[in-house]
Amino acid sequence: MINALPIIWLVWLIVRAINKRDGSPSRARRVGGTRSGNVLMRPISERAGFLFVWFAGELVVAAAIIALPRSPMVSASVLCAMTVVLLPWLLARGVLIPLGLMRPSAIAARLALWTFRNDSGEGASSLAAALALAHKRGSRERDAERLRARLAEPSRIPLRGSKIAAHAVLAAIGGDHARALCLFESIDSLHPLAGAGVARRLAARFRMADAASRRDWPALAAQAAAHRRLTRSAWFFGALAAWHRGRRSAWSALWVRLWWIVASGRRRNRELVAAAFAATAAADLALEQDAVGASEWPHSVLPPFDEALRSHAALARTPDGPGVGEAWRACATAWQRVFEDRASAEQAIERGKALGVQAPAQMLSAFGSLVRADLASDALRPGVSARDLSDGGPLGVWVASHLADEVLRDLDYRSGAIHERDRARKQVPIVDDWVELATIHSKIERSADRLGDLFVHSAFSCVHVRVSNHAARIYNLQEERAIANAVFRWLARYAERAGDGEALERYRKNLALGF
Amino acid sequence: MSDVRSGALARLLTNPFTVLGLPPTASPAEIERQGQKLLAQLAAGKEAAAPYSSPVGLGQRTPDLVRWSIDQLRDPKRRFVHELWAGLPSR
Amino acid sequence: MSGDSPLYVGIDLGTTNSAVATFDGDACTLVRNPAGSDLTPSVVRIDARGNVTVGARARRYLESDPANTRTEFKRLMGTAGGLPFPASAGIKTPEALSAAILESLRTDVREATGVDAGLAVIGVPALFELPQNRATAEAARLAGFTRVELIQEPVASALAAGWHDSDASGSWLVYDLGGGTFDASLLETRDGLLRVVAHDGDNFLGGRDFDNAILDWLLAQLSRHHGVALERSDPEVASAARGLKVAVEDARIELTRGVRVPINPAHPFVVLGRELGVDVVLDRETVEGLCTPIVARSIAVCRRLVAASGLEPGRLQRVVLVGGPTVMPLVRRMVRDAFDAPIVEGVDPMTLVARGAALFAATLDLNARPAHRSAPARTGDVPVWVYAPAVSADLTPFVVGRLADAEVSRRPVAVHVRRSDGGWSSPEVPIESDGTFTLEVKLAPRSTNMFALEGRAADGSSVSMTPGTFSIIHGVTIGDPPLSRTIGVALADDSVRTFFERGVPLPTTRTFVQHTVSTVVPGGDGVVIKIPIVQGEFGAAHLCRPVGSLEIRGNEIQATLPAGSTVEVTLALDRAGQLTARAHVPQTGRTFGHVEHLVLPDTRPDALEGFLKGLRDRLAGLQVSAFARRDTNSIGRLGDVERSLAEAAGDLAAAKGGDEDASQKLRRTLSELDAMIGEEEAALNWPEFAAETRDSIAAAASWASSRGTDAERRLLHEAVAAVRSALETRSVESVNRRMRAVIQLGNAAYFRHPRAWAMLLERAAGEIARASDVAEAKRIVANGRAADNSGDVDGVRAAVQALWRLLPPDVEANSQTYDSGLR
Repeated sequence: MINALPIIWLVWLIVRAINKRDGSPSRARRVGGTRSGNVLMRPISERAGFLFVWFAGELVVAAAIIALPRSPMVSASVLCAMTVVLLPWLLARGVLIPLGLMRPSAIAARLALWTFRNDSGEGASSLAAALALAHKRGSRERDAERLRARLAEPSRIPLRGSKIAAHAVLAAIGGDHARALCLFESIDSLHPLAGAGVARRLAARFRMADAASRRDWPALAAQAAAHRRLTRSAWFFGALAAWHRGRRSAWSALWVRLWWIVASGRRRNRELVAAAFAATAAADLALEQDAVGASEWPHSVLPPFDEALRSHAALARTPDGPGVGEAWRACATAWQRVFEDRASAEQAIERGKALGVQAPAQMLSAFGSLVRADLASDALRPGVSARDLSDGGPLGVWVASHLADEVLRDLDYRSGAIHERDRARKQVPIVDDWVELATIHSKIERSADRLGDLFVHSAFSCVHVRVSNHAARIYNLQEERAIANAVFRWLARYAERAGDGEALERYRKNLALGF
Repeated sequence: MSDVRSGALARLLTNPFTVLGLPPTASPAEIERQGQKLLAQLAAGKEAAAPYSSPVGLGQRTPDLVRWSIDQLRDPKRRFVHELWAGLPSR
Repeated sequence: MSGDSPLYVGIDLGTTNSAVATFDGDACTLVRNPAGSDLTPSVVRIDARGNVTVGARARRYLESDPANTRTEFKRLMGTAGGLPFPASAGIKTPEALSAAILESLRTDVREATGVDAGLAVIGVPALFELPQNRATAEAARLAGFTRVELIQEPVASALAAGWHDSDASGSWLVYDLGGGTFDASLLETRDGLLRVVAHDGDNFLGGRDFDNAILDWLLAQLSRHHGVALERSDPEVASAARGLKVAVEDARIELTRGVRVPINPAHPFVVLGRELGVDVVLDRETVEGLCTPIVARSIAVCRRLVAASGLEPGRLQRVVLVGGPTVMPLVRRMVRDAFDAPIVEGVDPMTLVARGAALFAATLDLNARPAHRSAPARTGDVPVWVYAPAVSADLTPFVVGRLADAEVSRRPVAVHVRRSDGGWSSPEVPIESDGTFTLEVKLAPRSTNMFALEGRAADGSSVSMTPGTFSIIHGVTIGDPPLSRTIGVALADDSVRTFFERGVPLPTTRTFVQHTVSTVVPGGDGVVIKIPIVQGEFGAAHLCRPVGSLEIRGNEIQATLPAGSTVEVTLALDRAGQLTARAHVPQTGRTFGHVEHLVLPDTRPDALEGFLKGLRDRLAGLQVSAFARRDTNSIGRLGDVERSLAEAAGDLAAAKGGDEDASQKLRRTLSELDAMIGEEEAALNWPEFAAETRDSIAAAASWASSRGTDAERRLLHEAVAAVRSALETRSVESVNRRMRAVIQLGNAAYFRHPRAWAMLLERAAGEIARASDVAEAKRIVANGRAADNSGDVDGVRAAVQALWRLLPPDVEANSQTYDSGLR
């Protein structure tokens, strides 16, 4: 009995320590909320209720260990109870989720306070239920509907990483890959304490698998490097990306296989490994044969059209990946030579007149627009970098400007839609709100590296007022502080990059309020 | 087509001259004859009539694609642009 | 016509008269109605018992029972309303009335040929809009046709005129002036291929306008003579003048032969309670004087068409005149003089469309005669599929065949073909391993060629095949008709995403990916996503004519669609220009295909009057500005617009008098004038906008060079290049978007000036009279100045921001943008 007291005290210390690491400040919140910072100071709530269960569990276990006579049955029962109370997430992840048991998984996740920390409770149980649903065999529609309805109910618990991940898993189950990817990507933008490691790891694995399926090896390599400390899968994907980017040796192949064994999702990743090694052989063959079925032009083409058309065809044939950037540059410079060659333009116009075309120069210009459109479309492929655009000559500059304009117009519309909703005082489910905000962030982020500082500047100017006002609204009125905090985080980053000191200061003040 | 390469790929794969298997110097009469022949062969289910070679790989002819190709080459403006994509012959 | 030969049926469903023709492969024949005439008046009468009378018999009641006798309803096809028939207490749509005409024509065909034709080609004006085409197809369905294809009337006319002239090549103009519509088409024949180069026309110009002009003159004569005001815009007068109109039409037709004709209405002219005697003689000179401006309008349309196609007027090979009104000597003379091209003679302009439609049916192999029962297949006959063109301009077309059954006891290894007239036979052609064979046949020119197919087995013996024969007509082939008006989808910013450009060959399909502009929440019956489909050449969606919209309702989506969700919109047009649309939303995995409101828009006279007044006001503003700038070009263009508005006022009067036709025409005219005025406004505003943009750039550059960092200057340089390239596109939206970065960079430099906030304070203090609380504003200014004196920059800034909250928003906005006028 005397030994139980230190255990209890130790447990209590641990809980306090967890609390201190909670991003929520112990000072009062801006809007007169019903909560204060310290979980132990809060009125009785779900969280406190489960904490009580945890405490009680600890007491029972400790008492049982100390006081009860040992027998195999009792020991086994005590061990089970220990596992459930002390290691609920291990039980859920190892047994309940793979068996597709939604309700038990949800309950176990609720108890996993240590694992989910500031993201525990409803978010944790939703995520566990969603994962169990993903593993469930047979028809999943009804359960998916029920879980969706449950998640759609208004909740006092703010949206954080686990709940976002639960929505993402549901979207993936429903076949909406784009929404799932958007939600998983958005978890990275949350404050580190607003998203449990479980959710982050899940998000990282999904994103890396997506990059691999799209053959976006540079992006995959970057993600793998960023997530190495988070998940073993990052090592596997990193090795795979390196392999596809040209680091091919027997040792690299072994490395890929080794990490495949260690990483989770072996069955899913087997195809990637097989494809990697098969693709190498096929790609080599294709390079030799210059693409199966492809033929050269049957006649002698007017130079410099010949080079430009050949490079256009080569670009279309090159699979996404390392070679695309170079192919794109070659194509852009070849077409620039065509546009500058007066002799071939004159010959083309002559041909147009012979055909009876009314304004052949205009048609030639229309042809130029088609070339530009193709180059702009191909500039979005994985493998084409900012450097390729800047090295692509005047056409590269045009494409960069055109792409920037397209993205800016899109951002204008998206932020405008948010602004209109605020003006009309309309609300949508918070997760949908978050998807819209995350999409804006993702669009800027994806284009920032390719399109440069001016683009970031323009994009920030375009969205920051509307988005920050909206974020303030959801922080103050809807108390969705974690996601508002995430928005201020990336706005602050862009403000810094854009050199807007005033905005930066404002966002830093908002961030200091925590979530 | 949701393929992001659809622009360049489709353009070179479905160039009307390429689809019909004719050089850009083909006369209107040759275009009509070849088109009519291909349409009849496709309608008859002649398998050898479907695949065709292009600078970006093998394509598959369909009656709609052949009809579209013939129509495109009847209009001088459209023919002019397609000739550019098919490669204006050098002198 | 033998029972073996095919029967192709073509119909001209005209505004005033309709006709039907058949083609058997050799000759085109007009089908006479029970009255013995080639032409059936497009008139329908419904009596009190509900009996429907069509044609000449119905036309007799036009004067005596106008309320229950309807004519010229072709122009109303595709509109939402119906036409009342008080006697039978019924309302009939224009489609139902057209169906009555079509049914009558179908009966005539049955009487003449013994064939109950379920397949036909119907001519429609080239500039008929999508709702009108749809309505025509619907009328055919109501009349009992199982399959109908539509052909543009000028194409049909050209086909009929050029059928026996397939060797000729060159460009020619079809001038189709009907009772209610005018179509001009430029065609080209080359190597037996007839191709439509372009269309133009006027859906509200026709013989009816001649009659209206003469009627107005007649009413003016009667007014003068009897001392009573008679205006066609007066509904009572318009109603009473119906009988006069018939007399006028008859007189006009007679004047094609004579020079003076008295106007003889069949019944007394009773109006406003008085019977007025009509003792007026109409002479050719008067008629020509009244009709010359109308014909001139049609020639202007033709000139516009020829110019747009890049053809010099002198290069036209010939002109084909179509439609009853073209028999007027005035029309023939003016057209010949305008284009210096011979008019094709020897063709009946009243029936050319019906003949051409029948010929077109042949090119589509729309055989209305039931499938020919050849002699029953004998045991041992080898079944074969034969693919040959129904009509070929090429004298040596290809024919492809395929053995239908690979497992036959005596499989032929080679085939050859004999022409039934004995004039030609083919060499033997081997059958390939896949069972197909390809051979060239030789046609006898300008006739239907029958061929017999014979096979040879491996042992050399003959193998008979079934069907053993096929036929090919040598004639003109026709290129797919081009789309007459650009079709696209209206977007939220009033722009149009063009799916099909005018002139693109039909049929055609296109898919574009668009994005939603706002968040869409599921639930409810209301429309949550609307995709309007518009037709027209304008860049602004509101100027184009809406022809339908794809609507997605709240109860059709299950989850919230965030703003920016993708929607894949696919539009498809068939050969006749009939539209189908669908929208695929990947996020929901569903495809929506419900198109609403495919009717022509409403045209209430009061709304049109408001529209007209609005245009007049805008025009006045532009004219003042043009005179101030001494812009003679603009003054000239605005003068044309003013004249058109004056003419439109005449149509407004008619519209108020209940003339639905005038309403539709007026709406179309006002939309075109709206676009012209819009272009002038844009042309006027753009230079000012561009100048202001350059001023803002200069100010930002000045601040950046004095106070900016190297990075900011570099970025500003790039940003200015982006603005310059946006200025070239002349897109205000694009320029504003790019200017944000310029303004941001300029501001960053500006606010580094130690006196920046102080300068803003003084600027804001200058606007103090506009403050919502002047006393408070004065106090803030005083505080701000005190802070400035003590060097407290933060205090000055706080004062400026507090002052901005009391002042109208433009004060702050202008301060941020160097008093720029950018919106």
